[in-house]
Amino acid sequence: MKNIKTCPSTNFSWKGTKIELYASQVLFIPLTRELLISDVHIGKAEYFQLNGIPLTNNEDENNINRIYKLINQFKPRKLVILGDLFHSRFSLNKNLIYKVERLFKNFKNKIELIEGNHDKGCKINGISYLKEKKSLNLIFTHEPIKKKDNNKLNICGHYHPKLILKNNQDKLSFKCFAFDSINNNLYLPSFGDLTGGFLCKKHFKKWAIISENNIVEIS
Amino acid sequence: MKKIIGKDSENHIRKFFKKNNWHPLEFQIEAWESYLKGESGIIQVPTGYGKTYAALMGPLLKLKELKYSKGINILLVTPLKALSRDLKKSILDAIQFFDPNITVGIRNGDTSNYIKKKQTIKPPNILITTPESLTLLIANKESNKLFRNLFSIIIDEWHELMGCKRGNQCELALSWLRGNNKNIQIWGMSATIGNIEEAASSILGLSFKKPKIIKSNIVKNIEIKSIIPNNIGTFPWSGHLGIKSHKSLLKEIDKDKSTLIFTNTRNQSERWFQCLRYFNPDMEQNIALHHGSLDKEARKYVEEGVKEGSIKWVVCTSSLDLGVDFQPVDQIVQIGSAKNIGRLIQRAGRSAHKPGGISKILFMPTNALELLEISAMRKLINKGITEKINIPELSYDVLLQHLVTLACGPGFDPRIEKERIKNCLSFRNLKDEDWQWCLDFLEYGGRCLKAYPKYKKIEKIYDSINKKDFTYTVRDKTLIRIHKYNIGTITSDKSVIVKYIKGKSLGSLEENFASKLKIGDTFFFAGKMLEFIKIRDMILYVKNSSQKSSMIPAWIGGQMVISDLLSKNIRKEISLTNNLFDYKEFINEELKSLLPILGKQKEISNIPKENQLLTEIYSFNGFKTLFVFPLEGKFVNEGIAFLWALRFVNLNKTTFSITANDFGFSLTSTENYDFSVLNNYLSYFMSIKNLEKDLESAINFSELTKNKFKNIAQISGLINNNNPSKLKTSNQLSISSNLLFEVFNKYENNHLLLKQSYEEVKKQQLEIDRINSSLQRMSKLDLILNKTEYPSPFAFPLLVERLNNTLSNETIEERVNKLIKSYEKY
Repeated sequence: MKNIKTCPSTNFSWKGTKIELYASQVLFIPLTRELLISDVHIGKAEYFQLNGIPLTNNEDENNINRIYKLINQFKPRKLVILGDLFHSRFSLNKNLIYKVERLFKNFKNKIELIEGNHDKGCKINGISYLKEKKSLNLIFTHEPIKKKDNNKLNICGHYHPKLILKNNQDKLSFKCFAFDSINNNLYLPSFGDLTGGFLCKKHFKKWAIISENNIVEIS
Repeated sequence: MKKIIGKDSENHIRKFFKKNNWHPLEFQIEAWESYLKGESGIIQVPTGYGKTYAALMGPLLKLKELKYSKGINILLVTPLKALSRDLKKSILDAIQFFDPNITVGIRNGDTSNYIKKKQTIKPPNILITTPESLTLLIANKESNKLFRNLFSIIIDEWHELMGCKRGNQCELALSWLRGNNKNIQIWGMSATIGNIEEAASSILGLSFKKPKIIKSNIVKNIEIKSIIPNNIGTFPWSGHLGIKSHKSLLKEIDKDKSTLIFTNTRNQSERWFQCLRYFNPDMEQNIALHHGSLDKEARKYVEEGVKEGSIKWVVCTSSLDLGVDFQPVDQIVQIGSAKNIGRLIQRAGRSAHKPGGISKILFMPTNALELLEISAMRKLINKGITEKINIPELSYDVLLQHLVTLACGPGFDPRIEKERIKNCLSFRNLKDEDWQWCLDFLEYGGRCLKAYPKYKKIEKIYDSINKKDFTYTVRDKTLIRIHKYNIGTITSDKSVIVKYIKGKSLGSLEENFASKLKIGDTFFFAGKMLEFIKIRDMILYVKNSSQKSSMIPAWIGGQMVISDLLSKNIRKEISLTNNLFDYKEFINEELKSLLPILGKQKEISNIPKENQLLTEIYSFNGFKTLFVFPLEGKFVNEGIAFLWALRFVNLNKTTFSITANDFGFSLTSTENYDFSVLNNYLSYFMSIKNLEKDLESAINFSELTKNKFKNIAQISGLINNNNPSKLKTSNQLSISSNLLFEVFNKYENNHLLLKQSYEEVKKQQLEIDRINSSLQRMSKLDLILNKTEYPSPFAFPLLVERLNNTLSNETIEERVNKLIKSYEKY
């Protein structure tokens, strides 16, 4: 039996553009040194607390620390967040705003946020909100672009892709990267620790995130 | 208590009976005399003998004598909405005689908002309600006023409630009502159960001394006849149905007689309805379907139809177990084992309601081994033995819900409420620290965590005079609304309403099923072939279809499991069958029909005697399976399966899939796992040393706790499946219970709700006490380890059952490896 080696990253190529997918739930484009993450949902715990459901906020610390670590690791020219950095405008408090603003200040001009549906009304100093961003033969958006462009790959978030591996013995579920070859969309997994997921369609190509440093192609 | 009612007034009751040409039964007289003496207690009588009037005469008389005072005076709690209408009718009949000015109202999930509002402004003297609607009333800010003059509570069919969390909910509501008014007289009504004293104590509270227990001497004779297919070769082994043998059933039931056909699941009832109607086209108008997910109008139509006689056969589920005062029907059919003697007796009781009459029930097995169950059941019934009903204890989720209910309503003082709650049977072991944890959880969101700045649920309101006194209340209107929408302990997946595109509603389905439908798909529901058109705002639109489809929705419901008492007797029955081959003339029909199968079992493996434990090893297609037959009922078998799986993986690392049924369990491995280590390590497998620890780690490896936590999270209000439709933000509040489970595990492992999930798995699901005693029993048995070439008849049902659970001590990587090697994608 061929064993799977522990593998922290894997490659994907789009018409000559090399794209790297990491088990740390980020996507890296070596040529432009752009680092992409998506769907952090900061403030999700607070939103629940507001509604009488006690969830701890520890995960947000975690999320922000992970972003710091990744920037230091990859030293990207730009960090592009593909939307839903925040969970809800109702749950943004001073403390959270301070932490996020500090993040953006520390990496001045390095971070860009493509506005997601959850980010509506979350105005924060020092962040430039974009609708979409083009880079090489790639288009970054939050929600998938429905109109297909044969030459361009749409890299997006929003969907929180997840997959289930199962036989009649065992069943496990993982977050994943997913590629829809019919519509040319590449979906990023949701970065936030408190985010759930939705199962991908069958025809998608998938890369399962087994652990922090192991990503496995499933096709 | 002041005695207000004398002998003279009591004659009024007798006059009422006389006017109707009834003769009061002994237990009825005992019941009202006891009530008029000021006593409280429980009445244990089989269904259909006038329990209602027994419990009601006293309170009615009191109401007549007292003249009505404002608010609700008599409260009637019933487990089923369907019972309310008939209860109201019998009460109205009595009122005509006692005092026509007395008012009666029904309040349950089907009551319109208009009526509800009217009831709160001008409450009826007598209110008929369900545990859920009662709780909702308590969550009303005016509830103190509503119940101010309550003097009597009657709990109908308590045996139906006491064994589940609805019973806990009821106990807590009662504790509050009792606390506010010390003189309330409470009476429960129950079918025959093995622990009636406990039942009484659970409605009256622990501090109540000497509850009155009224039993009748009515003996009900029950005759069970099994329908045995002509050709045992076609006998269904397992799987849902046994529909194949419908012909044998049709031969036995009469088209002109009113008939209730009980099935164990809603899915099964749809299938049988479809089948019976297909083979009896001439009866199309006379066969109906009745289950809990159908639209209430449709259910009402069926109930009335049976009463009028226009509907002859009704295929139903436990939705018709109780009440719905049909005239007794002529025939009762039970499809599949009822698993529990109490339930079988109750269902049989729907025929021949006359005292001394014989209740007949036709039993249609859905798999061969069920015939053994029936054979054992009949013996127990003849001896007059019935099961105990276990009351779930320390359900913190229900407690949390109750406290929020009080806080939404009149508010509560924790010092007073604690005493009331500890007086409940199911919370008698509530520890002070756990009580405090619950309060902290609701006020601050948890103890071990930093204070959440934005968290809010219940808050202290200090008394303006006595500055130290306070009550907890919920102020936020949205929180109150969400809470009220989610009151209840019956958890289910989100449901979707099924409607014709033209508007008529048919009932509801689970979202899980709905989400798998594609446009144009046809499926069978509410007895109709339907085509899926679209889904909008949780409404699934359909139209009739002439296409055929085998797709029938399934609902997640309570599983029915063989009772302790019954499993013990089945073991005896099986052991007995060893001797049958020599004395064929002396056995009953069921066992006789099983002889070919039992013969096959004997040929391939063994039939275990009472002093033997049968195990079988069977290899097929790279899988290797161990079958073990402790015959302990599904949950205990499952518990032992987990324990053994853990002990096996401790010896040799692997991943097992585990399947269990009422007869035994199986452990399957994809590798060539050497199960014969069982022989050498038998004492290790049977050991009760470290039982609790081993079981806990086995549970840790499994999904069981997560599954329990899902319900607990819903009941305790962590997850709100039902949201007021106006609340646009509701989808921002959705989170999976698994994620919550992981977060709590990570940051607060003393979380009481996590602890409860473990306890529920251990105590209620796997029944650790029973595992303990069965290991002790099994350790005295001789082990038979057979390698079989074919799956034996005992093993077969386990083999075809779907994957249930997994226990593994391999790393995720190793498991992914194997999965990828042979996986099915989803």
